[in-house]
Amino acid sequence: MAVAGMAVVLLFALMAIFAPYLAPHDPLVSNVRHRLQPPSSEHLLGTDSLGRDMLSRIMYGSRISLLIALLAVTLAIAIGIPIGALAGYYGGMVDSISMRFVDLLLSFPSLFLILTLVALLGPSIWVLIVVMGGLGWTGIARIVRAEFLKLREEAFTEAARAVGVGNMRIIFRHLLPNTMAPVIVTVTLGIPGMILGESALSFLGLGVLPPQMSWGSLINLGLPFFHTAWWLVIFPGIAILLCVLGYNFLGDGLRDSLDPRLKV
Amino acid sequence: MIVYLVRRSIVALPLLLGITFVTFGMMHLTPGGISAVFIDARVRGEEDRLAIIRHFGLDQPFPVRYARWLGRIVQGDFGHSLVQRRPVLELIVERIPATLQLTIPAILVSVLIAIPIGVLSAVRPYSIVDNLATLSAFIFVSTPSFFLGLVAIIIFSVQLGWLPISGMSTVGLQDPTWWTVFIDRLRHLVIPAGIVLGLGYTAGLIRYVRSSMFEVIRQDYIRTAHAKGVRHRVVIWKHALRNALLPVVTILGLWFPFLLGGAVIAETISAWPGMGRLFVAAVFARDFPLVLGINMLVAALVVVGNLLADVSYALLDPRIRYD
Repeated sequence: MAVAGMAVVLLFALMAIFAPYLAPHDPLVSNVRHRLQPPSSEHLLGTDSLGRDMLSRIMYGSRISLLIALLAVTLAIAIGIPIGALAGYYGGMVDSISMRFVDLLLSFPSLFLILTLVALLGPSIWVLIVVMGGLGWTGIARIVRAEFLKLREEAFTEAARAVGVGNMRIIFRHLLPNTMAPVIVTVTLGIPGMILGESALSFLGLGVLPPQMSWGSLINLGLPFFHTAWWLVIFPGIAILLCVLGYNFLGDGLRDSLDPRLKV
Repeated sequence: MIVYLVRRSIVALPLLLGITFVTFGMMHLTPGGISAVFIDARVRGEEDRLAIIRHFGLDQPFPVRYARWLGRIVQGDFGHSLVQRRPVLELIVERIPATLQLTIPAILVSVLIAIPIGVLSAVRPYSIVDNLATLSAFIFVSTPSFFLGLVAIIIFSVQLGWLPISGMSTVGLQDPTWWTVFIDRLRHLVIPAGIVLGLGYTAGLIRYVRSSMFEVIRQDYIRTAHAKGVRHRVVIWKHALRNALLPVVTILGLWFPFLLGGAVIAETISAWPGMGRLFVAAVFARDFPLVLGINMLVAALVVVGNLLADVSYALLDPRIRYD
């Protein structure tokens, strides 16, 4: 299953990278005479309300959807790892304050916080990345902290300290590389969460806006017509489902092979 | 018991304060500052602008504004909606019943489905039931809930015509008695509550019941019950289940606020006139007092959910003492 997941993930990545070469049509050129056509040999996944080719739009949409997810996860790592590392390494006040804050964020349904920030900043790709990444670091911080709590008691940490290595160097050179296995697993399993988050916001019309397109925003644009033109929402939805399943299977497989301790 | 309740409430206070601080503070991250939020673009003159800023106390430093705002919240004054020109509290309160009608049936159905399946999965791990439950949990966790809802509408409402497409009730229902009205409401609930909210929730709950049950049936007192000759079925469904449900009750309290997040999506799909749709509309209109007010309500529910979880746990489990 993990290999199948890996294959799906790679396939979507290739599709996103080579969308301009793979797409049979221009995703933005409309042809009103061909509007709302069901799937056919000319338009494999049908056309939208302006006669644009759905297959091409889904291919281009994968670029934005995946870009947002990857950048949001990157931001989450960039915040989560230092916070988790400092909390776990120093303990005490640093630890209790940052972990209380994590608890606070985790107990509150993030959709409300995200939408509040979107209302303030206005929907755009960058706002989505910053907001989702800026709120999505709690899981990584917890994992890194838990690892650091164990690692700081290890003999090699004590040895490093004994020969006079500075705290920062111990944290980033000696301990951090040892946390990579769980971090890689958490990140892989974090990407599908970001894809789902982006799709939900774009579905509500508060994420990616036209002329840019993501899978969620394609579904949003299809909403007025979907009673008759089912292909407008079904195909982008299947793209989300397949991609998310791929990442989840890959993440599960990685967890089993990289870090058997995490298995539940 | 009362002492315990009071103590738990006091512990919950920092949480509530923290959330108010975060959401109120967020309003000040706006490009252009807080005054840009409250002042209509139509206000042109510098003098008018300053008058408004003074009137709302926006010239005060942040801690003063926060304290004043908190003072008003405590008294139940959430301010006025910028768009609808009505008190925020009034707008929210009139939407709560619709949202509860959506979320409570979703919880009830999820619990009724999840407990038997979770127990069967735990008692016979890797059996057909267990594998199917695991697989469907994986799929439902990976599917956006709005997509499930839209597929259900296409299949059951548009193609088969079994269920209404959207809304809360049929307009112009013939000779409405309380029974036909009730059935009509149930039919309207199937997609938003059963499918959009329910499926993902149920899948998560099954995993939870399974792991809780899995632990309990390996306890000594379960072996004792078996040893003294109690029938297997009674051991599982009475002795074990009662103990396994303790953490499940807790998680229901903790998850309730997250169901409101799901309600935002479900209400949007099915044009259900609840709080979730009110929130989305407020976000679109940048109606900040209303957005803040709904956030406060969600925060309060988080606290209440935590509290209910603690209290029900203490009530159900005699090993936990209140004092």
